[in-house]
Amino acid sequence: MYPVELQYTKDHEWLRVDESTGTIGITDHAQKELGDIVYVELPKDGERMTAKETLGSVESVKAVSDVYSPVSGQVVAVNSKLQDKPELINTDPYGEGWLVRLRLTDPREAEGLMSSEEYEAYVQGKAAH
Amino acid sequence: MTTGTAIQIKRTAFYALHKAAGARMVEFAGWEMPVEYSGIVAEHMSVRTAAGLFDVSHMGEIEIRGREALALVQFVTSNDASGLKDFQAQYTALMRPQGSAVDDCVLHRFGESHYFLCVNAANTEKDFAWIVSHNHFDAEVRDVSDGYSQLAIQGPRAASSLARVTDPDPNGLGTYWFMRARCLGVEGILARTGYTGEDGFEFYFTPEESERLWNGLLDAGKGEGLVPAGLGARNTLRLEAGYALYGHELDEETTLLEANLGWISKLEKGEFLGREALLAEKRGGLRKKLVGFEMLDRAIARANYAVWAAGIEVGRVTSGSPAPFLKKNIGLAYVPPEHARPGRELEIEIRGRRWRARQVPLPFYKRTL
Repeated sequence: MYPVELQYTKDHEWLRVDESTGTIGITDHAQKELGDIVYVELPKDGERMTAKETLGSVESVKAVSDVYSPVSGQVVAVNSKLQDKPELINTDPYGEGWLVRLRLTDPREAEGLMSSEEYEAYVQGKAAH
Repeated sequence: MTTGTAIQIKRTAFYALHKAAGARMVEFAGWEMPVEYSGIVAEHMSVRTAAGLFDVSHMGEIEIRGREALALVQFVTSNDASGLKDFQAQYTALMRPQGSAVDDCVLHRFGESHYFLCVNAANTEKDFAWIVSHNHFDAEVRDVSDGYSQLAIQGPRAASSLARVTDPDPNGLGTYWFMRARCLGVEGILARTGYTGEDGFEFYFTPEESERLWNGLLDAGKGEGLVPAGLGARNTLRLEAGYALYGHELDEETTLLEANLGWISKLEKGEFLGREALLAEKRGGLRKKLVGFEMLDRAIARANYAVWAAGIEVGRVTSGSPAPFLKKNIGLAYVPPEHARPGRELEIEIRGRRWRARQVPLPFYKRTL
């Protein structure tokens, strides 16, 4: 149910590695938990991100949730469509709802992330508690 | 891992129905409650334009009976209950001597020796103990919360939805009046009260009939646009309407006058808990005042964010959210009285940055009749 070509974090971000760049978003599970997303704060082009540090935030009507960068790198693109259409994260979390694209500092960093199978088990394990 | 007694999360009689309706459940005030079904924004808009059905069975109910029931009520609450007629209700506060609220609640009068209080879920036990500890009157106080389920039917189509299945006709009921009524054959107490800023009703009845009522009401209101609505929409609706939420705008450190609740502080009615403190505050001036604001920038204010004015931190946000109907980001905050004025700008500190906001008159939203 979670795309197999992506990698996942425990904080419910996904990463798509494409040679030396990585695209980041939040998972379908995360958007469902948040509900209607109404506002997104993202870094600027050129900003340097460190793995596990705050990349931005996603807000629903109910709450604000920090988004953490799964890997280190420099921002080469931000999804500017989200300024006016933050709901794209709800409707298409792995496609039009992507957040930022980084030039990866070290592609090997991604090796520590979860596969779709592992992430699914992780989400189900959390739900059972 | 903590030691001691595990806190049992309670469920209302509607739990399985919420799950079946696709609700996302959250813990609130010790209860597992539906926060949303189709989405907070959609539910909010349904209540403003049609009708919403809320399970509010977590709310507490306290009965006060006896020869001196009115005297006890008058002593522990701030509003004047002496003018209430039978089957009339009023918004009031259960008071502390400091002029702050133990809780805010709705008082219903069945008769001179029989009153019924609807109180906040998280405060039910505290309220009950408080009233009992001040009961130096010939009155009996009972926590009857377990005996009631409560549904709120709110919105411009609430009356027409209910009228199809309710006897007597709820259209005849005035705002803040109540009656004994049969809804889908179930006997209960129907009050024209609510917490959304819309016309609406609250129905108290025996939990055994919960399934019949939930399904029957949704069926009866289908043509009117009645949909289930969760606590998420309940919160955004009350915020637009400028209603206080205990634990946010109200707590034991905040007086009624500071919370703009002077209108339920009847200082001339005679002695009651908190009266002296409120009189002194009226003479000496307020320490802080509740104000409404809307964000001028796109950021969203949330509870506990710092509020700045003229370069200094002056207060805290108590509630903040996008307002789905008004399509603005709004909030409530306490600031020193000298900074409280509609039109004046404030700054809200959000994740280390300060964003502009402008004070606006309350309520943010008022329904047109």
